[in-house]
Amino acid sequence: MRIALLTEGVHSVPQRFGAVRGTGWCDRLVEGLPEHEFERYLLLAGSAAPAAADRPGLRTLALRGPRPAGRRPGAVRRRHYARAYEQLVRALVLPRERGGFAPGLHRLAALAREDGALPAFLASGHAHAVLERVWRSPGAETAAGQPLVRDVLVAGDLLEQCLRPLAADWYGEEPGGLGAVDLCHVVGGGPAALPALVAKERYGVPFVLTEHGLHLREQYLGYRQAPYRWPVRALLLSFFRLLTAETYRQAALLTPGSGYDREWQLRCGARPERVRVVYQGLPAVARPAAGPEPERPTLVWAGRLEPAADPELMLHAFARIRADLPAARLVMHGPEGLPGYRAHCLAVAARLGVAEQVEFPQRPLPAAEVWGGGTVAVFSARSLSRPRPLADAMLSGRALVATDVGVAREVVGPTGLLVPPCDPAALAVACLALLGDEERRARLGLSGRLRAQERFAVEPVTAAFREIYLELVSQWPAFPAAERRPGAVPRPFTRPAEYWVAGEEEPGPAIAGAAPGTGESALVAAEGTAAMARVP
Amino acid sequence: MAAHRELCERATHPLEIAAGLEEAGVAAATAGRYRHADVFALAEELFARVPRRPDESGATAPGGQRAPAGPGRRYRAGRLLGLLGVVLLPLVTVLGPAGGPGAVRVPAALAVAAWAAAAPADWSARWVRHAGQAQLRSAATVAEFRARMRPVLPVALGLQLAVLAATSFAALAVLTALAPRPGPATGGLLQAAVQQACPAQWAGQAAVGLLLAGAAVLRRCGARPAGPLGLLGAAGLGALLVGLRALGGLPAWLAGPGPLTALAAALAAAVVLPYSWLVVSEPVAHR
Repeated sequence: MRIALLTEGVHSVPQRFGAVRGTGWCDRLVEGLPEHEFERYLLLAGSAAPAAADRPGLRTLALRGPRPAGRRPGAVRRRHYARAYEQLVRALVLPRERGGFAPGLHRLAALAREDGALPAFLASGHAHAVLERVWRSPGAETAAGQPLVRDVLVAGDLLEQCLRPLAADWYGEEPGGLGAVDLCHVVGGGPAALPALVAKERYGVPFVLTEHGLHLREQYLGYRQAPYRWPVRALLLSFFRLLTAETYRQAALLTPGSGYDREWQLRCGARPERVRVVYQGLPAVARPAAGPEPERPTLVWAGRLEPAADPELMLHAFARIRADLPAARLVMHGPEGLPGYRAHCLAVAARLGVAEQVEFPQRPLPAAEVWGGGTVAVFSARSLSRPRPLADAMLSGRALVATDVGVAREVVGPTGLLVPPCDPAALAVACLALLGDEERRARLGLSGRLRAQERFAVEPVTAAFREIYLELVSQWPAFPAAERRPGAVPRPFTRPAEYWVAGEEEPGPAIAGAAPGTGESALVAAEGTAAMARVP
Repeated sequence: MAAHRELCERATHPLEIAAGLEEAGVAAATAGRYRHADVFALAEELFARVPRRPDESGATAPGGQRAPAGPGRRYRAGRLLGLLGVVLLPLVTVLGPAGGPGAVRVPAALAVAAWAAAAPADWSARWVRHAGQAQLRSAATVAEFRARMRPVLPVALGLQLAVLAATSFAALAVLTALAPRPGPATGGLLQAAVQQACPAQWAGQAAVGLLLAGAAVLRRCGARPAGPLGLLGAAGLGALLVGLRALGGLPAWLAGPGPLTALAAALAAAVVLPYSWLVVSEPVAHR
């Protein structure tokens, strides 16, 4: 089966989530499913672009940076573009016309596919004029201020960047185009889902959406620190919200990385029967458990030093722990999330009188060493939106205390202690309970490790997606593009996956494994069906 | 509610409040204390109850996406060549029939004056851009921006003409002091200096000044290749006209050095100035 894997390389606006994400997970998926043919499409945002762009078999598109070259549309085409763009912008700013979002998007996509002049149009004064006119029309959502000229320019630029995937040269029915694949797999939402939406609309290719950490939620958090005025934030976030809702509506299946993300997806309009939680597989599962515990009772804390991870809560709790257990130590690993926050934490520790017992190692260590160096692992964060840090700690086999926020409850479950957030007394009591009970510590640590190994193993992810892919293409009326007659009822298996690979020299075991029925007869039958289907 | 007031006032949608609340450690248990099933419901109530407030603090328009890469060598060479060509235009047009050292003096002085006025042209272009950025920060609509920018380009051109008149007069005055015009001296130094150049030469000098200012504005406002192209076009036109005159293809009233400069520079300026007017009135040019 041919599968297009659509990824966004780097998170867009927020600097706090600036790491390359998703690509390692995709690599593991591609390696785990050798029977399928994967085509990688990567949207790049930020400075990681050149490093990732030179891999073979990978088609990339830069979401940031200078606008791709291209001529502006002529006068007639420009009017078409302007009308489609106006429909899109009206859907963004007028609450009554939300329904026009998807049609506007697809009209723009159809125009961009014909001449590729979409980026040039969106950067032109005509597009800005459309944006300004609609944005300042009565009824627009401008509760906190009217847009100014500079807002129009900034929002126009941002929209142009978000809509770049519509003008990519990825569409088409020739091999290598999105029209020729059997399935799209979008990893991470947002602009990466745009090509899949277009392929679904035009060629009827179904798509799966995998999200590890919700794109929309991260945009909401990231834009709070962005230097844009309220109208720009409202417009862009409205774009992301409508795009997310449309993606959830159109996706054949959503596979969030945790039940916590699932709640968000349901809230944004996903249908429960189409959501299936697939935990993120971690290669760290194969890691051996940490060695013996250190002699002094040691608490290990790891995370970014910033208010959201709440190292202050940890320090306050530690002051109480030390009152009962003077031998206790605290090690706080992690880079600074905010400049100067480490010094702030040191000052807090000094004020609480525990500065000598608290260490702030500057050098980053591998996760195994971080957690292995402690007796109890502690998470004091106010929000835990991704399971990965918790799973890393659990895999070390150390007992765990975490605040009951975000994914903590479903990841840790009964194998660790959960305390309410922002409550130093409760955190201190939980830590003391574990520090004083070696047998309980060992029991919880072992069960936590087993639980994490079971949930976050790599193979179940591969197996889950193997099934999901086959299930989808079997349910989906394959290629309604083959039957473009108006009123034609799309039939399943009109053009099975083998049709597309029958012409190659060696069908290979992959194809034989992908569908029952091997040999010449199946291929001939498949071709025959396809030929019949093509007759109008 | 008081603790999350800023979040609620700046929010654009209930989901943004929900994300912010979860980031701040508000979980379903806390929402339950306020008689809500989950954080989303609590966020919706907060969104409905707290009025939106515009955030004026620190909301600066970030500079555009344009990469501030320095101009390439070809661009700089083209600009220098164009500048030289235009400044030497009066000298070029004097070559040919009316030779002699006396005839070259006045155009040489005018060329020196135009060269000296090239830097003020750049300053006035920078002022145009600065004014555009200031208006961009405060203007509400594109129409208002255009209305406010309307007087800016004429003022910049006027300034440039004034500076050029001053430098030309100074150059001609020096010339007058060094080599007085033959014949009876009428009036003082002022009149003598002005009379050094004929009206056509003054008109040519004005056209050169307008052209320089227009090209500088284009350069500062983002339309980079257009400025040097205009300058080069004027120089090329001048050379073409000189060639035509050598072949005898020009009417007699045009044959003098003054009208020729004026014609070449004015034709180029007639293209460059409307274009720079259009560029200046576009908000995109001032980012």
